[in-house]
Amino acid sequence: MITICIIEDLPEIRGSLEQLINNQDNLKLLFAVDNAEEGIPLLQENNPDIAIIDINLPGINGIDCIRKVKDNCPNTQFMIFTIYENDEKVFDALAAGASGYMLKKTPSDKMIEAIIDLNNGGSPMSGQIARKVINFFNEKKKPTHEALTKKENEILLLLSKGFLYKEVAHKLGITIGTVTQHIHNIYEKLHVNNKTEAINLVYGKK
Amino acid sequence: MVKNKWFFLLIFGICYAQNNKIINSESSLKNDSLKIKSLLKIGQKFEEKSNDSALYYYLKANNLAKNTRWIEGELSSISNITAIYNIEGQYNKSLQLNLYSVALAKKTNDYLWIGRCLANVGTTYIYLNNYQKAIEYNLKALKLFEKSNNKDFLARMYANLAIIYPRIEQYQKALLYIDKAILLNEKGFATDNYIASLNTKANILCYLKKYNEAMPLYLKGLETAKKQGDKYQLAVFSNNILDTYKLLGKYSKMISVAQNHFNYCKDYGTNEMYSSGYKGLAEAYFYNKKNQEAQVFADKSLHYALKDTILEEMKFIYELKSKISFSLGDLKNGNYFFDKAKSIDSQLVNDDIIKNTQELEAKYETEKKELKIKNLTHESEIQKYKSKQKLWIIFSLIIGIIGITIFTYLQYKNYQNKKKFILQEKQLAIAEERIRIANDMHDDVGAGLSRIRYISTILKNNEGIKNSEIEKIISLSDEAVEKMNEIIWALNQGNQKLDELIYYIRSQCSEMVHNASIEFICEPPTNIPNVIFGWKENRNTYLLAKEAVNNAIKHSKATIISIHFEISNDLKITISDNGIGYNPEKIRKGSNGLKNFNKRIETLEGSLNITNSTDNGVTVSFTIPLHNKFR
Repeated sequence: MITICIIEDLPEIRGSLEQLINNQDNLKLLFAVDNAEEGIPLLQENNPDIAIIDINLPGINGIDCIRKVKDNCPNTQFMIFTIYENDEKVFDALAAGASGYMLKKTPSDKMIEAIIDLNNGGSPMSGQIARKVINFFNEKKKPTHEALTKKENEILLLLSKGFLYKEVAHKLGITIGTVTQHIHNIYEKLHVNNKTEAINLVYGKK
Repeated sequence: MVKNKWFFLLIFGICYAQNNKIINSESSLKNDSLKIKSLLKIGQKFEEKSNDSALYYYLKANNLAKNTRWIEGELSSISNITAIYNIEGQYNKSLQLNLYSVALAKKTNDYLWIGRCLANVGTTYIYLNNYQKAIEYNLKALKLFEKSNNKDFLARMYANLAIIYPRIEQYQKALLYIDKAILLNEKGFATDNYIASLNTKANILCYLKKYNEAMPLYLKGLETAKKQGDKYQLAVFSNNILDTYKLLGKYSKMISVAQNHFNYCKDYGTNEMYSSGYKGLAEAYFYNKKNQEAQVFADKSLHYALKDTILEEMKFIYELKSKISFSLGDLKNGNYFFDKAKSIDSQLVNDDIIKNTQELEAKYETEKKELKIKNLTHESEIQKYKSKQKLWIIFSLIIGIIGITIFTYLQYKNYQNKKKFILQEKQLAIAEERIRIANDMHDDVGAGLSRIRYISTILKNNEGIKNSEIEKIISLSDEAVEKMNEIIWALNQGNQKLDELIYYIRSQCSEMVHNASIEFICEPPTNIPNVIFGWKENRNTYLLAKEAVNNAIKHSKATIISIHFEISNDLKITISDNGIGYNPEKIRKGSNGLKNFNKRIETLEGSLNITNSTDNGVTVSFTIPLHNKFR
């Protein structure tokens, strides 16, 4: 049973998501709220498997919400819910602690698939985001940072050039599952490194 | 004694000539200058009797000249005043005043005046026994007189130099100058000067012990003086002749000369002259062994010498008397007079030492003052130079500051204008972009949304929901979101590089083709140059590629769709399929798709090429120029 929480301000979309999850036997909706202020304590209390969070929320936005609860919810996978894949904020959210994103146009059957995928360690990544991740790791080449492996680099490079997971897997002679697992690892490293960065910013200013 | 006499004569001569000149040449001047001149004249008259009275009038003249700022008058008076100072032994005062007069004379720019003042400084230096300085000043004066070609003054300078050089034992130089002086004086009208120069030359010859050569000159001088009726000169020459005969050992000639000398001295009439006259007679008789007569004349000479306490004369006479006494066998008186002469000599030496000490002190003081003056002028010059330098620095600083200010202002204005221009350009570009974005939103998203609304209205009015209509709404809204996504992508600043465009085309087309279960072949080029595409180019290029791929997916029935990128001076994108091709007749002319295609190519200033075959499918390739876009 996968436990799920939703923070989405648009009632139609929230309602549609609720209905979708409630119809699934293997998914369990713990709560669905329309703002982060209400959602943050609930998240920390419930510690769900998956948290689906919209970026544009009234008050505290989705990115800050993830940043705030990430450490207190070690078992939660955060999933950004967005209209546009190319939104600048998607990368920010991923760097803040999200492991995946879902586009609002995604058909409902695919949505369930994505939730299960994420729970199993799979993560989506567009070419745009792959490019940004590469840049991030290139810029933050510090000994304290956890570097990307050669394979991870290869995958990111292909993704950034517009290759789909399917194509990457084919090119590198691995399965799509492996590709998604790699991407998941890359996200984890991104979070760690991003967090180190934040701590350095605070304690480095002596 | 001899020396002193002609020396006095010389100084006197200079003063006299100067005053004459002023009186003659400036007689037309105003009352003040006439007053000054008469004051000087009165002073001159007093000079023979009382130096103090003469000085009083000269100082008065000097004051008046100063007040009326008549430089020539001031110079004349100074010349006379310093002559008095020299006679009175106030050499220090004299030197200061003469040096001042040189500075004053320079204002007149008159060589004669400057020369005269320089000569006066030289004369004072003679009194101070500083012969080197004396020569230096006289030579300076000489140069100026040479320039102005004044023979009178020139002759006087030659004579002066001839007097000074023997003091430092340079007799040959002295002879050289005195010959020049005589040459000029022979032709000139100033007979006193001629006589004086003859005397000088004879004296020099005497220094060289050439008495035989000196004698004719003395005799000639005596003759000339006789013609002139100059009593003083007659006395001097006859005395010198007497001396020379003595030195030549021609004692027999001495008595008649001594007689004449006595007569000339008597004519002049001073105690000193009487003493000199009787002394000459005494000597003449003594050397002719007539001791009795000699003793009488010696006593008479002593009588007059004692009247004015003329020490040198006294000493000489006591010596003579001692010699006469010894000759008469009177040892007692001989020793007595010898001791007397000795005591006077020691007094003289003492006086001399005192005088020398005083002179040395005066000299020291003078030099100190000179040094001070020199330092002062030097300092003032430095100050002047410094202030001049400062002025220049300030001046150039001001110029510099003004220059920088103007330059900065112009630069600033230029910068402002440029900024304004750039801002305007930017605003214009932004306005253009805004219109374009608005158009795109209107055409792409707006059209989709209005279709959704239209379908929804039908659904609302009709009972029983048709699934197909709902499907249409979903696909239309997906399309609208898709188009928004594309617009956002193209608008993103970071997405304006050529590589990003190519990767985006690849990823979007790949998804489309894969979703249609068609094989997709696209290997993006490895080396993509750093080219910046504007959002307009990005969007149009992307849409061209997407449209071509979309057509292939929809109409070609192909199993493989490929995209090939080629970059040189242009970007060439070739989209080919292995489908069935198309029938050109079936495509309506002016269809929206084709219209859009052409419009986009036109905007990109590119070209389009389509090959169509039933066997090899359709190949669409478009070329977009990259020039001016390389970074």
